[in-house]
Amino acid sequence: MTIARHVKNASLALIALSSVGVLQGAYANGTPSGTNITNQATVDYSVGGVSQTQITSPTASFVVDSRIDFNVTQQNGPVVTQPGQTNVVAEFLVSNTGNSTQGYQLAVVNEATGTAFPSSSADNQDVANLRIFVDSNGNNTYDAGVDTATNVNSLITDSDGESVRVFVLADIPVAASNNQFANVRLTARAAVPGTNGATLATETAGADNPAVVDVVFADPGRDGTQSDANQYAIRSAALSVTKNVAVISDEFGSPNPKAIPNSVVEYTITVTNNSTTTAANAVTVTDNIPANTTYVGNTITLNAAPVADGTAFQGGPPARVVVAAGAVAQNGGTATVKFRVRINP
Amino acid sequence: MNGKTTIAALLMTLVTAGAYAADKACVELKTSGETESEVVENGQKVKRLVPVAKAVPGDQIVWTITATNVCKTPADNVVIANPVPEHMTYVANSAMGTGTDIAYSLDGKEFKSAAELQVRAADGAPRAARADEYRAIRWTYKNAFAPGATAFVRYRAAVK
Repeated sequence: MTIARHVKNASLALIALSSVGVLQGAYANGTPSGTNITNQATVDYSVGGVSQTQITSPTASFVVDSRIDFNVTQQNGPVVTQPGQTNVVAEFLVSNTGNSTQGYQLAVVNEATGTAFPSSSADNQDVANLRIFVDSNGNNTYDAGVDTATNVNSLITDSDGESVRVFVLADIPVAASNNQFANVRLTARAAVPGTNGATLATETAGADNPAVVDVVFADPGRDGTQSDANQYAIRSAALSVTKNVAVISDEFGSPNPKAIPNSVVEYTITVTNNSTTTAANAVTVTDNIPANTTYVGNTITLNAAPVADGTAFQGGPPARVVVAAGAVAQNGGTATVKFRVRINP
Repeated sequence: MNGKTTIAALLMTLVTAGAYAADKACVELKTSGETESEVVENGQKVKRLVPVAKAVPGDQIVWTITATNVCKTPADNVVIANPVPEHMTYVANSAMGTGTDIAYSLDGKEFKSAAELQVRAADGAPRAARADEYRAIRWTYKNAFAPGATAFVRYRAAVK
C-alpha cells in the first residue's frame, strides 16, 4: 500500500531540524528553576469514516534547571579621596540574572600596577585594610555596624532581576600623593543560597536528570565567577616652593648694589599648588634667618601685604620668619612671602 | 495487504464502526522531549537528539509526537494537536511533519496557516502573529495510516 510506505519512509527519513539560534539574553531571568514543564499531545482520527474518541498521549515532562548568571559592576568609580583617609567606600552592585535564588562568596584585592581603569589612569598605588560589607538594609549607603555581612547569603531573582550593593572599604596610605590611582577588584563566586557564601555552587556533571534541578553556569566565563574593578583616585595638594634672593641696597647707595657687608638683601619665597583638583589649607611658610645676616625689622610681606613682626618674626634661636599663608588654591595658586636681612659687617 | 482484505476490512468497518469507537483506541500517541547535542562521530560534528539535557531558560527542547496505528484497519483523518507547553515559546519555522498540513493557533481553538494568522497590534491594525505568540500547533495528515504504520511530527520550543 503506497500510503503506508510513504508514511514509513517519512519516519525513517533523516530530519534536518532547522537550526534557529537560541535567543540568548532574550530571557533575562526566565522561568524559575524547579518549574515542571509538561506536554501532552492529542490525536483525532477516523476509522472507516467514523470519528473516534480523541487520544491523549502520556505526559512528557522535565524540570527547569538552575541557570546561574550574575553580574558584578562598580557603581561610583573612580572614588576621589585624599591621602590618609580611612574607610573610603567603593561601591559595587551584584545582580542576579539567573533563574534561581543564589548566594555569593565575595573577595577583594588590590589590582596590579599598570592595570587600566576606564576613563581614568592606570593603577599605580595600593590601598590598605581592604574590607567587604554587604548592604544588608538595602539603603544603598554603608552603615557601619549595620552592614556587617561579608558575603551574600541569599539573593532572590524575579522578573526584573534582583541586586544587592556591596561596599568595599579601604584606608588610603598617608604616603600616597596627588594623582595616584588604586584599583580594587571585587570577585563574586556563585554559592549555595543560605550558606553565607561558604559553600560554592558547582555545575551538575553528567547527564540531566529530568526530575531534579541541575545547575548550569551561564555567566560569561561559564565558571560561576564574576568580577569588576573600582578605583580610588587620590587627590592631594601638590605644593612646590622656590626661594630667590635679590640685593636691595648697599651702604653706598650704588645703582647696582652688590652683596657686601652691610648690604640689604631680600628673600622671596613662593609656594605654588600645582594640583588640578585640590586646594591646600593652613599653609605655613617657615624660613630661618641665614647665618651672618640680621633680620631687618618690619619687612615681612605676604602676597605684598605687610605682616607685623609680632606675628611673623621669632627671635629664636634660631631667629626665623614664620608666616601663616592660609589657603593656596589649586591650578597654580601661589603664596609669596618676602623679608629682608642685612649682611653682617 | 491485498485489495481483497482491504475491501473486507472496509466492509467490516462499515458494519461495526460503532463498536470500534467504544472498544479500543486504534492510534497510540507518544510525546517525548529531547535536546539537541553536538557530538563528534568519525571525526565529524553531528547533531543528535538526546533525552532532555539540562534545560535552563533560553534552551530549546525538541518535542516529538509519534502516532502508531495499532489496529488492523486504516486510520484516516488523523489530526495531531499539541498546545505549546506552559513556560515555553514555539520556535519559528520549527514545526515539521511529513505528509501533513501544519496549522497554528493563538488560542488553542482556531487553527490557521502561519501566513493567515494575524493579531491586532496596539494601534488596532492587523499584523502577522509572531511565532512566540503561537499557543498550539496542529498537524493534519493528508493520507490515512495503514495498519501498523508509524509517523511522527516535531517542533522546537524554548524555555521562557
